[in-house]
Amino acid sequence: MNMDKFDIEQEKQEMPFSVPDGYFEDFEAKILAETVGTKQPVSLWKRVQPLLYAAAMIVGVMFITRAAINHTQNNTATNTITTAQNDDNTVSDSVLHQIVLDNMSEEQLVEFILASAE
Amino acid sequence: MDSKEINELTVQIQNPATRNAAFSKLVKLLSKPLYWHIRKMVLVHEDADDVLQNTFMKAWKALDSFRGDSQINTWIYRIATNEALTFLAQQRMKNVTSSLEIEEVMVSRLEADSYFSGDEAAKKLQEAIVQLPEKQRLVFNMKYFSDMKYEEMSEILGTSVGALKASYHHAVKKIEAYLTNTD
Repeated sequence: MNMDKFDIEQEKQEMPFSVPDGYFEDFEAKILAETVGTKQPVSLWKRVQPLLYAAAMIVGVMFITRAAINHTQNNTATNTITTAQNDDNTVSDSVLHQIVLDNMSEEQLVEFILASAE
Repeated sequence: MDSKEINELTVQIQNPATRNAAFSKLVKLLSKPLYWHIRKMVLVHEDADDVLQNTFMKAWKALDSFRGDSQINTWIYRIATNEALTFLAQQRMKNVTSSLEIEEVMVSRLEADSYFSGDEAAKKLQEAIVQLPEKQRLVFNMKYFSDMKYEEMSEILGTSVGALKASYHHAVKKIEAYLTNTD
């Protein structure tokens, strides 16, 4: 029996393992073909997402702009109606007439009346 | 891999636009070191090949859930370690009905592997290492053969540096005793 103490640090060894020729090159090619080389439904969605966000932003801006314009126009009409209200909270005919004329031409008004009469 | 490259890849892998390119780079950079990390545990080339494939496929599928809590190479090393331990657990399960101890089975498989190129002394050392508990085996291999820093080992294994140093120290003593007594 060998009585000498085995000192592992003194007998530091290389690993006694080998691999087939070209193993790592072949391995990398195989793995890449099965991963990044495949089409994934998830990545398609991820490509579409930024386009959807951009479209949503454009639509959002359009809505905000339109709402702001409508809000300004409505405020003018509302203020006019509010100040024109009688005590019993009815709008005088003359004021209403003026409001309608402000927003419709006479031709449009005639058309509207004729259509309502049908 | 230097730390600048690791940092860059850790960021790039989280961005769907740069994910594929980053993963390709990781495969090229990590295939070899991960292979040897696995092979030291499972011993036989074919098994190491299987486990390495499983590692990269698992990593690829789990990329969506990677949040950069750790560096990407540490994250993949953890997957590789778990895959190797799972493989060994499966080997033990298969060996349950055998009269041989799992360690004996592993050594005989090692001897039969055409990609084992060691002499008698190398075989004896592998035999000694196989006697260690698996976690201790991992620590020993990572330190003795790969010369990995304890801090890096700690991140991969989730064990404190102090515990790892103690584990390595015990492993060395056991192996020396095994080789001294069985010569």
